Amino acid sequence: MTLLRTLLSGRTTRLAFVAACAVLLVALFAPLLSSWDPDDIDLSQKLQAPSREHLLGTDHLGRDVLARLLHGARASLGSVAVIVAAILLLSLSVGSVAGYAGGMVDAFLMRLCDTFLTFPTFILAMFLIGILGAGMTNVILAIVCTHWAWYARIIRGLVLSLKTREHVLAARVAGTGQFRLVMRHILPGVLPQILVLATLDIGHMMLHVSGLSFLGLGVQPPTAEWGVMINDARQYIWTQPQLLFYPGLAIFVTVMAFNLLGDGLRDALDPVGETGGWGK
Amino acid sequence: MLAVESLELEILRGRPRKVVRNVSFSVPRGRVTCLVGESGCGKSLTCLAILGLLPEAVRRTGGTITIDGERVNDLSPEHLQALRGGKAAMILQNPMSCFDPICTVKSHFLESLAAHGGNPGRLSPEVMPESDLARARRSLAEVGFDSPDDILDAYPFQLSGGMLQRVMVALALLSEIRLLLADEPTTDLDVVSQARILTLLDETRRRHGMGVLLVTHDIGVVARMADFVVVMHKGEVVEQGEVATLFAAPRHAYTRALLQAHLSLYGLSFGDEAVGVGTVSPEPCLAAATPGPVPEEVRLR
Repeated sequence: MTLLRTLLSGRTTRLAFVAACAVLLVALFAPLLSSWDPDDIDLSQKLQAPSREHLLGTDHLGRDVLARLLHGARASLGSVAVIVAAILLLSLSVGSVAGYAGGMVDAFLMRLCDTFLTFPTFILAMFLIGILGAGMTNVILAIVCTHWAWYARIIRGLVLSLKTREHVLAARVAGTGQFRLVMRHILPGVLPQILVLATLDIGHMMLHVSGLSFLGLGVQPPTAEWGVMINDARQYIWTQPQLLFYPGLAIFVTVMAFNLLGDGLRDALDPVGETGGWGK
Repeated sequence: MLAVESLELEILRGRPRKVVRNVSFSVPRGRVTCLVGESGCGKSLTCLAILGLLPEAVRRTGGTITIDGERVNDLSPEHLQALRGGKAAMILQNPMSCFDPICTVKSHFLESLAAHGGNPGRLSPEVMPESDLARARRSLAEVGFDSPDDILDAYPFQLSGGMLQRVMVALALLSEIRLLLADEPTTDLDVVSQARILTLLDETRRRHGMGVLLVTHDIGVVARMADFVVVMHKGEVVEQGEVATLFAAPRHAYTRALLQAHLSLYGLSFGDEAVGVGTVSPEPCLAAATPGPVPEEVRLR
């Protein structure tokens, strides 16, 4: 609770927190917030201006833009949640084993990380999609493959520094087993820093997902997703620019909110930064 | 109780180099053996080697370590883990950094208990069973805490260095240990806490009849506590013997220099009549090291 209070003490972070919570709530309760089906095509209603019926108007297939925006939040945030969870699971296991075990195990796992770090996200995504076909699963796979190793390296570094701390030695002296040592004394020291990184990266991943969907490699039409919506609206850029503006704004606000939240979280967890002290 | 024979340790970084050479000594049951020497002479590494806790970059290349008849070198990792905190415990130098800052003292007790005969697997301090709690309270009372429950609920940063060092002794006393390794346990403490910890260690040793290996570079502490002294210099044992003999007639130049350096702090030297040339008694050291009984009003809880 103290952390939350510190986090919310800054106005910008408070605003970002509210925005991020709003997007999360929208994603959770999308079906309740709009009575329209996001995939319901009605060509007689295409490219309608905002009205009482369609608050943000309709797109080129007569689908309700607001409904698609609300449901798009689900696809974007849902995929990012899966990506972040998978990255954390993989990198925490590999990073902590490498850092704690050291020696040959460390060397092997780090070379494995180096291999994965050589792939650029978009190229690997295209490669995977070329083999496995387009779809959200493959986009998630590609993003996880190109990002987990980066996290694993950072976690390994943190574990390396934490395992030599005296309180860890004291726990070993007391006869604590290796598994418990890692779970209780090392990972709790690693997690806050990794969570800050992950929060800062949520926006970055969301841009990846939307970018790949925009290229037609990720979420497939007619599923509502912000990147897909921008792609659909491309040809109406001069006549119906609002169709591009709404999903663009949604991506902008969400990415901004999570970035600012990550910054706020980093500052809240860093007591030195708070006082504007050392090294600043 | 503890026998170290021809211990050799090597640092592997860069060109391997021996940091501890041919070190042999023993710690009999119920007695205190002090390992003295300057910083970096290999005292702490020897201590870590005894519990099989050498850092990654250091390797034991020779010698044997026997605790209570068991050769530590031959033990499996599981047996070694059971030995640590079960038969032999260790008190580290800086009590402030030896406790996990995000865990209460109770969590630390719970963990030590889980490792040695407590209720395994229980990790939440809220569900600490009454029998474990009673053991923790008894142990804390033994090291002089009047209200163990307050200590159990405290986080490490809420306690002073002296109190934490006593908590560490209490943690060591959870099992019926036979050997206590104390790696400079008073270095980071103020003189009042130092005196308290030394008295506590001495009382505990007498009550439990355990052997104590006290690592220190403070000759005052040696004079106060030791039955036997082992002097290390540049990774080797240069002299060892009973404290009175060694202080009365130091044979090695380094031992003489060590004693001289200590005595000079108090304006004394081997040449002084009060001390007596060649027949240095531990008394001047002892007198300088013992601050006397701690007055009631300055005692910590």
